[in-house]
Amino acid sequence: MAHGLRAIRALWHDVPRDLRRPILLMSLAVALVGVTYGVTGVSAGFAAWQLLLLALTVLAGSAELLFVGLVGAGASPWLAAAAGILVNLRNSVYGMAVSPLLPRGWRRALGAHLVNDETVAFATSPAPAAAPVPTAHRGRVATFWVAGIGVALGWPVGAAVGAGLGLVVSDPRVWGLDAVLPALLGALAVPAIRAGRTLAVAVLAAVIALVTTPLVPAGLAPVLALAALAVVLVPGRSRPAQSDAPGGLA
Amino acid sequence: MSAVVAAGLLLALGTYATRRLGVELGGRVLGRAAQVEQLLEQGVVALLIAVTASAAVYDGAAPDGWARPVGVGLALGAAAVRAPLVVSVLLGAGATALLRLLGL
Repeated sequence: MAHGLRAIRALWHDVPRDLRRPILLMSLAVALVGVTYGVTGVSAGFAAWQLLLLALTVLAGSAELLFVGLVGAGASPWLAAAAGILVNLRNSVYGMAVSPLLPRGWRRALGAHLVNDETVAFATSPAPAAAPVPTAHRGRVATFWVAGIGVALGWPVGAAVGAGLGLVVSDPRVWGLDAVLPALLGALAVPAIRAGRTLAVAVLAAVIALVTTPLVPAGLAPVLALAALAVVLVPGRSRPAQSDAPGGLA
Repeated sequence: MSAVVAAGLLLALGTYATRRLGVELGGRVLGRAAQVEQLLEQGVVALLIAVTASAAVYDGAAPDGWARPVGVGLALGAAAVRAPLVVSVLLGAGATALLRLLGL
């Protein structure tokens, strides 16, 4: 126990200074989304222990909100589970982005469970230019784990509070709680959008998501929005576009 | 309700599989070129923004009205001028609730 606490303190020490407060605040915001999920779940007919079990084992906000929402609306739970997994397909891309931070063995097995929008947004956020490379890597590893612990605590705690609150208020919309998830994810993405091509990718991704959401099964639209990356794959204007050139990354 | 719990655990297993798949593939298929790393970072931005846009505007497959998109837009604006994360989020939720109260 004491050993674990010491390890966590060492991780905290490795997190870049200017990320520490944002990570704590992100965990609070995740807890707030958890409250939304708890209220939604109770009003959809779920028991508090079921919501908590989902919160701990799935640990993916938007998928769980979709799952309880669909089941509450009378959909088959198996269909709802399939929809939730579809929503979580984007985690595979996130997993690739943080893969170098997770060495083989139990760290990788456990760390994979913590791969989500928030932890990856922090772990891949632009490093301070001054930091030497090994320090930057250690900082990213620590940032990933500390953000992961924050989400793994904030989400179920928020869910429990929401489940309790759900017995009093039945509609999360009255408090604007349904805006918390998109506001949080958007606010996490904004600092990474500095200019130029990333901005173009972001705008195009938003357009694709808005156009396709009503047309495709729940959760698939964000995956389709990855097509926006085509913007960065197109060679710059100094070179004319080549036809079918393999390895378009160059 | 036991089918719901079983389906929930299936969701948990499937979700873990999506994550683990990415983590395992990451190093192997792509290698670690700087450009690939940058591409993945831009992919993260694309996914975050796509989920944001979709969750702000739609309730399922149908548009949800103006209050939430406007609220979320204000939250993004706050983040763009470097407001703390929680301020942006609370602004988004508060504005959405207020606009609904006003009947938007």
